[in-house]
Amino acid sequence: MSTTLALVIISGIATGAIYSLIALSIVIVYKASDAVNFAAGEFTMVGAYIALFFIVSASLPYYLIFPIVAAATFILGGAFERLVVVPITNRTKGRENPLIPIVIATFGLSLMLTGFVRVFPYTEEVRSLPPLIRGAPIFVGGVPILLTDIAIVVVAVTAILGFWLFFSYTMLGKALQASSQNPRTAALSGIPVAKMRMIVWAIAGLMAGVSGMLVGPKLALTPNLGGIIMIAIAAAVIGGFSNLPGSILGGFIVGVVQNLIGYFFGSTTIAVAPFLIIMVVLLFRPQGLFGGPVHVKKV
Amino acid sequence: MGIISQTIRAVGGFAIAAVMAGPAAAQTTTGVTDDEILIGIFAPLSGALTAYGTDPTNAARAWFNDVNEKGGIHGRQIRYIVEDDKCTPAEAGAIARKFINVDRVFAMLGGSCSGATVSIQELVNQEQIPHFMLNASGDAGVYPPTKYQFGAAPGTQRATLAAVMSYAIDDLGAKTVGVLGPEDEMGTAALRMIHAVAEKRGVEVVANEIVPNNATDVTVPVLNVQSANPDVIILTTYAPPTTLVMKKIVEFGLVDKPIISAIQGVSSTDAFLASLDGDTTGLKNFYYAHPLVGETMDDPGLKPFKDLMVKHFPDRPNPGIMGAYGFPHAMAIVHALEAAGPGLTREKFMEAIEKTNFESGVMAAPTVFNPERRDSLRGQVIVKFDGETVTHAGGPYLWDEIVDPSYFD
Repeated sequence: MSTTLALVIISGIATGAIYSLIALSIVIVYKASDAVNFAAGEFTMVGAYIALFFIVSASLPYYLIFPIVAAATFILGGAFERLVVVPITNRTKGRENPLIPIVIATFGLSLMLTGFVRVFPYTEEVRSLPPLIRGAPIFVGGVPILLTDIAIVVVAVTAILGFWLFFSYTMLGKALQASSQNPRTAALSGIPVAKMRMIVWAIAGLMAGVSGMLVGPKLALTPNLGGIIMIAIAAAVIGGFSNLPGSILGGFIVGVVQNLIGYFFGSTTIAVAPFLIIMVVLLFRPQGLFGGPVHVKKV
Repeated sequence: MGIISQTIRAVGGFAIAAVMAGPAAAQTTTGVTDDEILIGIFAPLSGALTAYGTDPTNAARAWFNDVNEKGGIHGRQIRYIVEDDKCTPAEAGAIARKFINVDRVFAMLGGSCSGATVSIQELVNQEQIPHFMLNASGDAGVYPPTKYQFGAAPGTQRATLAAVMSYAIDDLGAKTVGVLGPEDEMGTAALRMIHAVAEKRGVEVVANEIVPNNATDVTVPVLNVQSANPDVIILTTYAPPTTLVMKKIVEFGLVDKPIISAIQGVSSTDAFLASLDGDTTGLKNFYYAHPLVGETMDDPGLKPFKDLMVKHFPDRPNPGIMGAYGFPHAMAIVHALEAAGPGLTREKFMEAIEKTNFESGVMAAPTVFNPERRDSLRGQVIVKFDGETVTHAGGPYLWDEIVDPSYFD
C-alpha cells in the first residue's frame, strides 16, 4: 500500500471515529423515542465552543475541560427532553404521527443553538481547538501518524467502550436498554421509563458534546459546524439506524470510504460521497449493513 | 408696450425659467429635493454575517455624515435610510423594492454578500435606480456589466487571482501551480483567471483540487496537490476550509512550499492566526492577496478613515479592517453627485458616475467606473504574513493589464 493511500485511510479513521460518536448519539435517541434528533450536530458544535471558551479565556487543559463539556451537554440534552419533548409527547398522545412535532422541535433546537452561540465571543471568525496532544508524528512503516489523530481515535473508542460497558453491565444502563426496547414491559417492571428517556437524551447530548471536543482540533470551528450531522446520519443509516455497534462501524466506514472515493475518483466526489453511500445502502440493504429485517411502520 | 420692455420681459422670463430649470428637473427625479438626496443603504446587520456589514455600513455613513457637516453637495444634504438584509436574497429583494417604491430613494448603496446583491440586479436595471454594492465583490454582479449595478469595491476574483498568479510567476518563479478551491461561482471565477494567466505566461496548472465550503477532511485534496508537486500552492478557499487546508499542509510537511491565498481566505490576520490556534508553522512561506493600502485600520494610510468612523460611531472604537471597504463606493457616489452639478437628475448622475476615476486613499488601486466597466477596483497587492508581521510583497497588479478583458467574452 502506498504511503498516500495509508494516509488517506488513517485520516478517514480519525474523522470516522468522530462521526461514530455523533451517530451513536443519534441512534440512542432514536431507539429510546423513535425520533431522529436533528440537533445532534449542534450539540457537537456547542461542545466545541464550550471547550474553546475555557481554553481561550481560562487556558484550562483538556482533562479539566472534558468534564465541563460533558456536564454542560448532558444537562442541555436532559433539559431539552424535559422542557420540550415531554410536553410535546403529552399533547400529541393518541394523535396521528405524534413523532413529527418532536422531530420538528429538534430542527428548532438546532436553529436555536446556532443562533445562541453567535451571541458569544469567538464565533464571529473561524476558530479551531488546539491538538489534543502536541508532538512529532509517529512513523509506522514509513507512514506518519499524528499524535492528535491517535488521541482522537483513542478518546472516541474509549468513550464508545465506556458507553457499551455502561449499557451492558450497570443496572441503570440495563434499565435504559429495557426502556428503549419495550417501554411498557419496562414500566411494569418498575423502571421509571420517563426518567430513563430523559437520561437517554442527556447521554446523547453528552456524546455529541464530547465529539465536539474531538472535532475541534480537526475541523474549522464555526457556528455552522452542526452540518456535520448529515455525515453522522449516513453513518447511522449504514449501521441500520437502530443498531449501536452498526452505527459505530458506520462512522468509520463513512470516514474511510469518503476519503477513498475522493482518492480514486477525484476530490470533486468527496462532498457527495456520504449521500452516495446512503443511496447505495438504502438501495441494496435498506435495513443497513448491520440492521435486522425491515419493518414497515406508519409515521 | 414698447419693443424694449417686451424684450426685457422675454429675457427675464427665460432667465427665470433657466434658474428654475435645475430644481424643477431635480423634483422630477425620485430621491432628490431642493435640500436633500436620499440614499438607501443595506447590509447584514444581524445574524451570522453581521461582521461583514456593520463596519462597512458605518464607513459609508461616516463618509456621508462628513460630507453633510462640510455643507453637503450643492446645498443638499445626503439623507440615508439603513436596512438589514441579513445577506439573504429574499431580504435584499424586499428592501430594494421598499427603497424604490416606498422610500423612493435616489440611489442604493448596499450588499455585503454576492448572492444577495446580484439577486437584485434585474430589479435595479428595470427600475433604473443605480445600485452600488457596499463590500460584496461577486464577479457575476459586474461581468458582464449592466447599466445600473456597480460593484467590486474589494476587487473581484479576476483582480485577486491576477495578482496571485503574477506574483507567483514573477516573484516566486513558478512554472507550475496547484490550486485548492471550491467549485462554486467564486471558485469557478477564480479558476478561470488562473487559467487565463497560466495560458498567457506558459505556466502549467498541475493540480486543481476541490475543497467545498463544508469540507470535513481535506486529506485527499492536499495529498493530491502534494503529489503533483507544484512550485506554488494557490488557495481560493473561503476562511473555514482555508484553516483546514493550512492545518493539513503543516501535517504533511508542505510548509516550505510558497502558499498564496486569495482575499476570501484571510479576512484579517488576527482572525486567521486564531483559526490556526496560533500555530505559525505553516506560515513560513505564506502570502495573500489584499486590496487595501494598509493591513489594519491603525496603519498610517487607513488611520484617518478609522478616526472618521470612530468620530461618527464612538460605540465601535475599534472597527475591523473590513470597514475600509465601505468607503470607496460612498466616495464614488459623492464624486458623481458633485460632478452632476446643482441641477441633479439621475441621468446627469449616471453620466458623471461613468467618468469616475479617483484614488480613494483606502484601496490599493484607483476606483474607476466607465461605460464599459462596473467593477470599480481592478488591482490588488500581495502581502507576506509570517504570523507576526505583514509586509508588502508585490503589486498593485491590475487584472486588465495582465489579461485582455476580451479573453472572458
